[in-house]
Amino acid sequence: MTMDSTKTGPNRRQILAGISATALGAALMSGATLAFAQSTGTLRVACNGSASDSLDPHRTQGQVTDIVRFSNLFDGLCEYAPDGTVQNVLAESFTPNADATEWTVRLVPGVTTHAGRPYEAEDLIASVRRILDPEHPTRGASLIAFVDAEGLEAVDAQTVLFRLKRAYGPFRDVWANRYLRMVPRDFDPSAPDGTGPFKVVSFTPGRESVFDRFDGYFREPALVERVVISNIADATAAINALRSGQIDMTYLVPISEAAIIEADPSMQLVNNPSMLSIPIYMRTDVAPFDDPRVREAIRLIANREQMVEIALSGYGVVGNDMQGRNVTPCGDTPVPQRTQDIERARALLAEAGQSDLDVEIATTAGTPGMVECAQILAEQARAAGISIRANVMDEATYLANYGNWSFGVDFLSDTYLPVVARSLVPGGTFNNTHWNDAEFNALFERATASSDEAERCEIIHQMRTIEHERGGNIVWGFANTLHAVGANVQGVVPYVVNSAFNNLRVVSKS
Amino acid sequence: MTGTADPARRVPSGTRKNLGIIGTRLAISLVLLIVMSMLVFAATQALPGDIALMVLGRDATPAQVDRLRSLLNLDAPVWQQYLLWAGNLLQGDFGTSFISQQPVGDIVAARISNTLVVVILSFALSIPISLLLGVFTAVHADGLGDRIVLLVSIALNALPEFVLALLLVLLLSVKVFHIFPPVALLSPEQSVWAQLPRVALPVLTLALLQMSYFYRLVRATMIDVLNSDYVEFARLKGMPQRVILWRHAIPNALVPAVQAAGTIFAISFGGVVVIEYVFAFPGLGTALAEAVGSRDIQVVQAITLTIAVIFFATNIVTDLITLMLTPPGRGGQA
Repeated sequence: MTMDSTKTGPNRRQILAGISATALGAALMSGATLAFAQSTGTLRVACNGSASDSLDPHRTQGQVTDIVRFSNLFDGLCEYAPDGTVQNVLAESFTPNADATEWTVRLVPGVTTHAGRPYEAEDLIASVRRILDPEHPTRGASLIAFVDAEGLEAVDAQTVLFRLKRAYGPFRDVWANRYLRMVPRDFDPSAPDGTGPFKVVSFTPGRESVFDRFDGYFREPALVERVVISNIADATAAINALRSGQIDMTYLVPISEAAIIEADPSMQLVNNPSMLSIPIYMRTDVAPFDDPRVREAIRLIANREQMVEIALSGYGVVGNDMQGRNVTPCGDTPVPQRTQDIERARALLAEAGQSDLDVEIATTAGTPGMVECAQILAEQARAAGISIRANVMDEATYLANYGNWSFGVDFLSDTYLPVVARSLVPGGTFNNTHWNDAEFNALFERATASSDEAERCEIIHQMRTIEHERGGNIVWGFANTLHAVGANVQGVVPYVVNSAFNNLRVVSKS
Repeated sequence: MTGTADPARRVPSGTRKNLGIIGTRLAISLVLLIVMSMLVFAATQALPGDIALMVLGRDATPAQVDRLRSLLNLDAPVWQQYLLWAGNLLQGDFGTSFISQQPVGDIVAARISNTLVVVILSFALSIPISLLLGVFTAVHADGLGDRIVLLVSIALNALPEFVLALLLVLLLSVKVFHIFPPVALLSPEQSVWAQLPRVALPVLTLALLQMSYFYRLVRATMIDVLNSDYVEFARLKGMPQRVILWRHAIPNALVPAVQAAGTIFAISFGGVVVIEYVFAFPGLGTALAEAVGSRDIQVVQAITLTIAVIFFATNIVTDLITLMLTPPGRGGQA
C-alpha cells in the first residue's frame, strides 16, 4: 500500500500543507503591537450615521453624522451659543421694516469660501432658494416657509432684502437652525465648497469622512488641523474605542453607560441640558382621545418622576405637558406642575365612560427613552384599572403609519416656536395629536408676527398655559443628550440647543 | 470485505463521473438561485414600511411621498418590478440604492471584500488548529487534555457571540492587555490588508467560534474512524500508530470535516452581524441589517443573493474537495 496508488489531483498532504501555510500568514499578523492614541493635531470623532450619509446640508435625512459634518463645513447666518442665545455668524445685522414683513440682512464683509471665492449676497439668495426649492424638499423649508423666494433681492454685494409672505418677528432667531446652513451659489454636493472652519478631504458614506482645517476662515480658525469622523453604529463599540484612545469623542452614549463614564478618569461625560422632549401624543380628533377628560386622565396617570428616573436614568428633567425645556429669554411659565393622581384619573375615565379603556401605544427606538416611557406608562395605567399595551416597532414600520397612530411616542428637539410650528398647529408635519385649537393658533400667529420680544414672551406664556390645560401631548420630560470625550480633549461644553460636535472649531487635544 | 475496507484506498473509476456530478450540482444551483431571487424579491416586498417614507423621513408631506413613489417606480405591479430588477441583474447591474443614491454594486463589493478578509483569516487560524486539536484529543480521548479542551470549547459555544467578542475586547484591548484596537475603524481609503491589526479582534472572535464547533466535529469523526474495523486491522497487523493515523485515520476523518468547514465558511459570511456590531466592522452582515432597517430594498436584495451564491459556491467547492479526498467518491459502488 503506497501513497501513489491514487492519481486524481493534489493529494491530502498537499492540501493540508496549503492550509497550514495560510495559517502561518495569519499568525504573523497577530504579533503586531499597536499604539492606539492618535496625534494631537487630529481629532477623531465617532457618530452614528447610515448609508444615506451626505455632504448636502439641505437635502439630508438629518442623521447625526450629517449634522456634525455640515455644521463644521458650512456656516449659518446665525448660530446658537451654548446657553441657547442666538449669535450672528455670516450675518452682520438684521433690520426689519415697521411691520416685520421685510428684513434687510447685511453679510459680514471679507468672508471667503474654501475655494477662495468671496461669499456675497447672490450666494445667500441662492442658498435660501435652494432650501425652499419645491422640487427637492428640504428639512429647512418649513422653518422659513414665510420667506418669498421670488422676492429676494440683492441690494448690494453684501446686502439682501427678504420680502416675507407674512410678518415674522423672530426672523433672526430662525437662522440659527442647523438646517439653514449657507452654501455658495453654484453648490455641488459632490465637491462641496463652503465657508465653514473645515474643508472636505475625503468622504465615504456610512463609513468615514476626513476634513482639514480651513486656514482662511473668517473667524478664529480651528484649533486642530484635521478631523476624522467615523460611523460607529453601536454605542458600546464607540465607548470601547474612546476608552482605548482610538477615538477622542463619541456622540452616542447610552444612558445606561453614563454613570460608568463619569466614574472613569480617562473619559469625560458631556451632559447637555437639551431641548429634546419625548412627548406621548394622543390624537385629539378621534375616539377615545377626542374627549379632553380621557386625555387629562392619561396625563394624570403618568408618574413623571418615575419616567425620568427609569426611562432616562435621571439624565433629564420632568416636563409639565408644555413644550420647551426653557423658553429663553422669556423665563418660566407660571403653571403648577401636574403630578400623578390616580383617583382623579379614575373619576375622569368613569365620567367619560372609559373605565375599561384598552389602547395600544405605538413606539420605536428613535431616541433613548422612547420605548421605555411607553412601557412605564403601560405599567402605571394598571393602577387606574385601564389597559395600555406598548407596541414597540422597528423604525420603518412605525414611520409607515406616522401621523396616523392614535396614541404614540415621538421626539422633538428645537426651540419653542419652531416646535409649535412643526407639531402643535395644523399643517405641522409632526402634528401627531392633530390638535387644532383656534385660540392657540391665533396666539401662535401673533407670536410669530411680533418683533417685540416682551410682547412675544407674554403670548408664549399664554400658549404654553393652553397646551398644559388642553393639549394632546403628555410632555413627561426632557432628555439630556449625552456625549463622551477623552480626558485629554478640551473646549467641549454642554449646549442647550446645539452640540459641541457641531462646533469642533473650538475643540483641541493635549 | 466491504465493511472493513478502507474507503479512501480504493481505485479511482475516472474523472468523467466527477465532472458529471459537478455539472448537475451547478445546474441545480442555478435553478435554486432563480427561485431564491424570487423569494428574496417577494420577501422585501412583504416588509412592512414604505421606502419613500424612509427616504423622506418624518417631516414628509403626502404629496412628496407620492412623487417619490412614482419616481422610484414603486407604483408599478410587483411582477413588473421583479422582471425589471432581474433583467438588470443579468446585465450585472444591481441598481442604485434609493437611500444612499450610490450604485448597489459598489456598496456590496466593498463590504464583501472586508468580510472575505476576516473570514479567510479566521479560517486560516481555526481550521489547522481545529484539525490538530481534534486529532490530538481523539487519540487521547477522555484524558485530562481532552476534557479541558472540550470544556473550554463547550463554554465558548454556549456564550452568545457578542459576549465572547466583548470579553476579548476587555481582555485584549481595554482592561487587561492593550494589544489590539477594540474597534475595527477601517479607513475606506486603504485596502483592508494594509490595516490588518484593526481586524485582529473580529478575526480572533470568529476563529474561536469556528474552532469550538469544528474541532469537536474532527474529534468525533476521528474517534469513529479510530474505532473502525480497518484501523483495528491495521493495528493488528502491527502497523505503527503514526502511520495508522496519517495514512488511514486522518484522510478518512477529513471528509465530513470538509463538508462542515464549507458550511461554517458560508455561515461566517452573512451570519456574524452581532460580531460586526461589537467591533463596528464594516462587513456584509451589518450592511444587510442596516439595509433592512432603512428599507434599502436594492441593497437587501443584492446582499441576500450574494450570500446565497456564496452558499451554493461553497457547497460545490466542498463537494470538489470531497471528491479529491475520496478518489472513488462513491462509497461502496467501486
